[in-house]
Parts: sequence; structure tokens; C-alpha cells
Amino acid sequence: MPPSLAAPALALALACSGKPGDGATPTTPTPTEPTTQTEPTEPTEPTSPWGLERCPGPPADAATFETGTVHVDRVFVEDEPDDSAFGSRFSIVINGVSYIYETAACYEEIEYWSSSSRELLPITEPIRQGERVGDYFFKLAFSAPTATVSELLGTFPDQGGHLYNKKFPDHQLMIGWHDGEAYRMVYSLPDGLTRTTVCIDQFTRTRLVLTGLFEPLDGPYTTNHHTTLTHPIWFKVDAWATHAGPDKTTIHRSCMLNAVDGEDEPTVEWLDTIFAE
Amino acid sequence: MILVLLALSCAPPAVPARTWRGEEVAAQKESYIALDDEPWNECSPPGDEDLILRMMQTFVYLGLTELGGPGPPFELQLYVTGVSTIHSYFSPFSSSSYSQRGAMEAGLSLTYWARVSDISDWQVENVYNHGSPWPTPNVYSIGVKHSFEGPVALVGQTHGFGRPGEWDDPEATVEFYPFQNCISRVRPDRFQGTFWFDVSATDYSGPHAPFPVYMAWNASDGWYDNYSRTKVFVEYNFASSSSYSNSMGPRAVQELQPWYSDDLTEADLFPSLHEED
Repeated sequence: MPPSLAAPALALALACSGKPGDGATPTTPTPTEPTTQTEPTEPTEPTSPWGLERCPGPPADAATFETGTVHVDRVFVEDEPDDSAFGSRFSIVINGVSYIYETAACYEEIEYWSSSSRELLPITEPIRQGERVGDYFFKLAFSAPTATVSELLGTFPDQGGHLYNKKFPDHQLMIGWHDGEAYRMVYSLPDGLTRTTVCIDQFTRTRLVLTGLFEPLDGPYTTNHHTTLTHPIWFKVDAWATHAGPDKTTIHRSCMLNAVDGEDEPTVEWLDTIFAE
Repeated sequence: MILVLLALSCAPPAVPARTWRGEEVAAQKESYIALDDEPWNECSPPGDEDLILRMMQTFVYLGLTELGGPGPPFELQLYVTGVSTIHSYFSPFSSSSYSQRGAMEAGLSLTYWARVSDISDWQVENVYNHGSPWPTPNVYSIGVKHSFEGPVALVGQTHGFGRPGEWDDPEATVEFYPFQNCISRVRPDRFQGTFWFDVSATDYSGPHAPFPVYMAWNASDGWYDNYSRTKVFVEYNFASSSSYSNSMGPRAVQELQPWYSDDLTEADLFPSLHEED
């Protein structure tokens, strides 16, 4: 079994804070200028160095990264939680990496409809294989029994990973990286073995800003020989709807779709209602 | 020989040896919102030598049949298939079955089949190891496919292993491996559990997976079933325009299909959840 690599892993991980991307990712977090919103939301003046409006920044000892290429799938379900098996009214799946993939994320990488070509494998595999030491990838699945925007903002601690339940939001998270010696990965685990927190900072029809925090606590990952982690990992997602980003770099790296579902087959009018506030 | 003996002696411990205070783990458990008031079973945590994986994308089938004669009145079949990644555009129950994609990924398939009178009969942890009776308790079939050795082709699969042989079989080193299966929660819309196995001492599989593996899942139903409908609203779509991709896609992260024979309903298996019916 490989020896514990906590020290070099921590050094490399801490060095990953604001890792330079392929031309666009800043080396250090910088305040962002407020942007004009297309939706009727009040402009805000972020004061966080990470450009966050309501979510906390990373713990002082956390390794941090911000997404480059990212895929976001949001589903709004128009069913009352007690009336159908689909208890949650909102769910989201996010796949992201901390660098900007060379090929445009949304359409250009897909040459034809095929189960093999439509994977995110080319994007994440360089990290697994050690070609991008210091970069991260992650996968997050989140659900909540509400489709009200105001109720989807803020901090959501994990409750054990009970996705799609009818009572409370919950999520499951994994993060992977290569530290130069081996590929490492952590998954959110049940029964208190890890603690993960998702915070939704901004949530509009075309933009999602979200943070995630993985904490090993004193759980299995602090002594596991495959992945020894003794510090938190924090990340920020800044995703824009497909082809809706404010500049070419964002359009290149960010894909996000909105889907509406439900027994009564809701359409765009219901989505208009969701984002009318 | 010493290595073989050491490997064969690595039975799944009830409480793995590790050094932690345990305080934050306990505090995190205490902070959870209770999913429900039903009994559940806490599974053993992973050990330090275990490669830890969560099946983030899952498909579960729950089937209940009423039996006559003496003994428990129901035959329950539980099937779970999952992958440790999230396929971008396909469910784990696609034609590629529980195939993995990237390096250090795995796909799992388990089938449980037993007579039960109460669902709590199944919320237990079973160990199969040297000296255990054959057949293995409750587990009807096991399938694991993995890419622990590195990347896989975009289409296809690498090495996999199935149900172990009897521990005292003369060919034990080829087929026998210890495993531990645990069911934490079974609900009408949820199946949570873990599966641990160690093939490191086997002739056939050992070279491919020279470490024990711990897999966890918490599978529910987030399947937004617009597959059979033609009307589904998707905007900013980054999948192809085919209805197949629109209906499945990344949203198909977890699906649970219940089936109750004849006049049976979920109230027969989960009477306490329907006391007000």
C-alpha cells in the first residue's frame, strides 16, 4: 500500500489555490465587478475576495479551486412532493474541472450521437492520469423539495446523502485529484464519516454561483492509505447557461441547461414563474 | 505464502483499526435531520486499506411477491446497479450496463433475494469469509467491473469479478474472496447500503485489484420520466436534440423501480409507513 502522503498532498493541494487556468483562471481570487443582470434582480456589490454575495469563503486551511470547464444540469419538477414518487422539486447535477478544457465544453466536443463520444472522459482523465497535477475535478448531485429561488439560496449541509427525499435538501459529492504520486479521490460518506456543505450564492435563469466544502473530519479519510486527507477542500462554481456567458471564455467553458418536468407537462411558462421574483 | 496468509486473514473487521478521536464524526451524525422514524441499520465504516467508492449514479429494482405456505409471507428481490461516476448522458442501466469510464472507477451490481416478513429482516450486515456457511446470506449475485489499473476504452469494459466460490473449495484461491454486505435502509423509494470485498488473494482477480474495496450507495428515485412523453421543455440544452438525450441525460442520476405482484402494495412491506391509510 502507498505510504501516507498527507504532507506532500497538503503542500500540493494548498498550492492549488487559484491555480492558473488556460488563459482565464486567475492565480489568486480577485474581486469581481458587479454585472448587469438580465433578470429582475437587484445588483449587489460583492465584498468577498471570491466574489461571493452570501456564501462564506473557504476555511483558512482548505485547499481551494474554482471551476473552469463545467457542466450543469438543473431540473425543476412541477409536482407536489406528496403527490408523486418524485419528491424533490429541484435537482442539479454538476460535473466540473479546475481548468479550462481546450475544446468548447458544450457542443463542439460532441461530434456525433454516441455513448462513447458523449462522456466527459477527455476532460477528467488528464487529472486521473497525473497529466494535470494540482487540478481537481468534482461531481455533485443536489436535490431539494422546493423550486422557489429564495429557498434555494444559502447554505445546505449534508444530511447523509439522502437525495430526492421529501423533507430536506441533500447532496452527494466526490472530488478527485492527482498529487504527483497517485490519483486521490474522496466521496461524501454517510453516518458522519465526512461532512460536506453546499452553498448556493447566486441562482438565476442563466447563472449559478455555488460553493462546495468537503471536510474529512476525523473520519476514514484521515487515515486511509489510498487517500489521506487532513484538511478541507473548498471550491467555487461559476456557471452560465449554454452560450449565455458574458464573454467568449465563459461561453467556451460553461454549459448549463434548465429542464422542466412534471406529470402535467409544464412548459416555459412555469419556468418564467420560477424566475419572476 | 506469508503474503497469502496475511491476505486471507484480512477479514472485514467489525470496527476497523484507526486513530481518530471520533468526536467530530459523532457530532456530525447528531446534526442530521432524521429521514424518518423507521428502523435502520448503521453499516461498518471503511478500513484504512480500503479503496473507498460511492456509487453516485444508481438504478434500483425492488420487487415483492407474495408466497404461500409456511415461513415469511413475502419474497423480496432487491437489485442495485451503480457506477462511481456520473455518466453525462446515460443512466447506469444503459446498454453498457454498470460500466465504469475513467481510471479508478467501478461499477457494481448486486441482487438480493430472500423471504421476509418485515423489511427490518434485511437491514443487517452479513459477512462471508473463511468458515462461513454456504450459500452466502441473501446475496444472489455479485458483479463488479472496475478500472483500478488505469484508463479504459471509451466503449467496453475491463476486468470484472462475480460471486465468490466456497472458501473450502480446492480452487478457493481462484474464486474465493471474503465480502461483507450491509443494508442500511430499505424504503419504498430508497435503498442504502454498503458492499466490501477483497479479491487480493485470488489468482484470477488479485493482480487487478490488490486491495480491498468499500462501496457505498444511497439510491433513490430522481428519474424524471419524460422518456415516454414527447413534451419536455429544455432550454439552453447542451445535449443533442434527440429526445433520448433530452429525457435521460445527466438528470438520470438515480432511478428506483418498485414492482408489487398481484394485489400487493408498498403498504404490505412497509406497514408502518401507511398506518394512516
